[in-house]
Amino acid sequence: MVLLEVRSLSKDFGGLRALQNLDFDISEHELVGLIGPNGAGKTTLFNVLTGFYRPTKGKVIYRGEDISRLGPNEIARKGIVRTFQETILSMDSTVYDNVLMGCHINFRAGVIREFLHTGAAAWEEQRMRDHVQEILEFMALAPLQSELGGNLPHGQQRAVAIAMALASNPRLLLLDEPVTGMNPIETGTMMDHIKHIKNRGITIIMVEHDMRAVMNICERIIVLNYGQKIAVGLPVEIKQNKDVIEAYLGREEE
Amino acid sequence: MRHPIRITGLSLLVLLLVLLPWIADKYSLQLIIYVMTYSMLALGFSLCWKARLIRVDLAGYWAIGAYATGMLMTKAGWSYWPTIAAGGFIAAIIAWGVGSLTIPRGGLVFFSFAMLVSLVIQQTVAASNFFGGWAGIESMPPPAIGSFVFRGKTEYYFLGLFLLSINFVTYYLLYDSRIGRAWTAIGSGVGFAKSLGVNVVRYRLFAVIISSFFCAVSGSYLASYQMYIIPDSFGFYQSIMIQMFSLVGGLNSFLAGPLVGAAIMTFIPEYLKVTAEIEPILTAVVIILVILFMPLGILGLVRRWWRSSIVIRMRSKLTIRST
Repeated sequence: MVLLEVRSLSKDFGGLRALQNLDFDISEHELVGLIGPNGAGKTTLFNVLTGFYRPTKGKVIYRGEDISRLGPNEIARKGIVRTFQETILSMDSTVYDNVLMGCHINFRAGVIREFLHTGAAAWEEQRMRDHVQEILEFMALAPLQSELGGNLPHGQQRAVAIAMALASNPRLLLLDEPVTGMNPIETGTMMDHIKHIKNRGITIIMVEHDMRAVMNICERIIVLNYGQKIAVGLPVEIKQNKDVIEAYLGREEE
Repeated sequence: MRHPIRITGLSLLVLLLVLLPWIADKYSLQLIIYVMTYSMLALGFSLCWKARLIRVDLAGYWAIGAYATGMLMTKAGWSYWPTIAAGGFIAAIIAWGVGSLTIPRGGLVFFSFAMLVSLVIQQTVAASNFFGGWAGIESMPPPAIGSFVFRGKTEYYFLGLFLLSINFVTYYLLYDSRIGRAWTAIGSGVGFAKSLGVNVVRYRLFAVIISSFFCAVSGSYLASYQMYIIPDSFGFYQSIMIQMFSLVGGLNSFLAGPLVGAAIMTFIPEYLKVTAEIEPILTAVVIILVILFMPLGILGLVRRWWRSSIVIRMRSKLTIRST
């Protein structure tokens, strides 16, 4: 089933055309890699998909609904959640509280009722806490749950950021450079986590520069260059694609 | 987890607070009353800061509470207690209006427009004879519960303690709830909060409204204690002064920081015998020094000292040398 359709998507910033006529589909339960040289427009594409930018032309259709004009928090409520290149956490909060922040979407009661801590609110709060516990264990962060975000090493901060995204129960998860700055061991661990996340039924689009990681776990790869889609296909196909190699493939990312 | 040490400490604190009027001298008690007034204001500032909104308009809401109490008691013969609710309600409505118009347009728009509104409030009450002009409102009757009329500082102390406690506990419950977490998320980044589904505008608006409400309550309290109010007390300088309390206490402490800051910046100038002319200079100097050298405030220093002393104590216990 097709989850996301991108049709003739373009994004201009004044005279700069950051995205040009992008057309692709993402099917449910896929793990898609989005690669391209620096400046190709990958993060811009993420920003457009999640409502941080409005498209200049074209549409983004999610589960049959046009979401091109929605704001980021509305899109998050529909089940599309993203992580950021820069790791954003609350540095002064514990890991547990950070992941709890991710549960925000799941809670329906209005502000007044929350404030008064009514029965329904308390019950939902307990459900949220169970949910957080489950995600912490899933991401192997349970032993760290009382640590302050700011005290963690880089790799674990990224894991927390992903845990927060998971806490909001996404259908479609957009990961922006999940393993940047990690050593091979951390990268391997993160890749395992991502595989597990996919096994939970979540569709994933992943931007990454680490070619080994991408080729290893992505089922399909979309390649951007200068805002245009230059190739789509299986990892083996992409590895041999002339245009892609010409664009930048061929240097191994350590 | 209820630590026995915590419970004992808390009980001692409560005991101390209850016995304070009989322990402290009258002058210190008056200072404490002002500390409680300022604390409520600073708590409001810190609340909005948690959602990364800076306010320089809190003195305006302070004025609303004070004038609501002053006007309703002297001109309409109201008893004191409903005027607290009235002032808070009016403040909330105005805050809602200001916030709804400007928060969707960004923190800077809110900042500027809110500041304007608070100045307009001050100038309005000062310019109109109906509100007493620059001379303000005087000879306000003291609060009364039935036939018991407030006479000495002790009564006002307990009233202040009561109001401050309600304020404090409300904020504590809010910070510990989903609402508080939404504010924390906003504090980490507006875009970030949005990506988690937080309606940033709605939560910021709520922060603005509730902090304005309690600032008005503080104003009612001030008016009832002083039994007179003048427009000069509610100007732009006072809004800045509120920031100073939060800064000195520590910007990343939202509950204890404002109280600590208000206490320090009320008592120290007294001990230094600072006159009214020097006071604004002192405020400015303190703000500049704190930002330059102590950005996390007093509590930030305390925390750092606490953490490093833990390391020192642990090091002396360990026989293994760390790399």
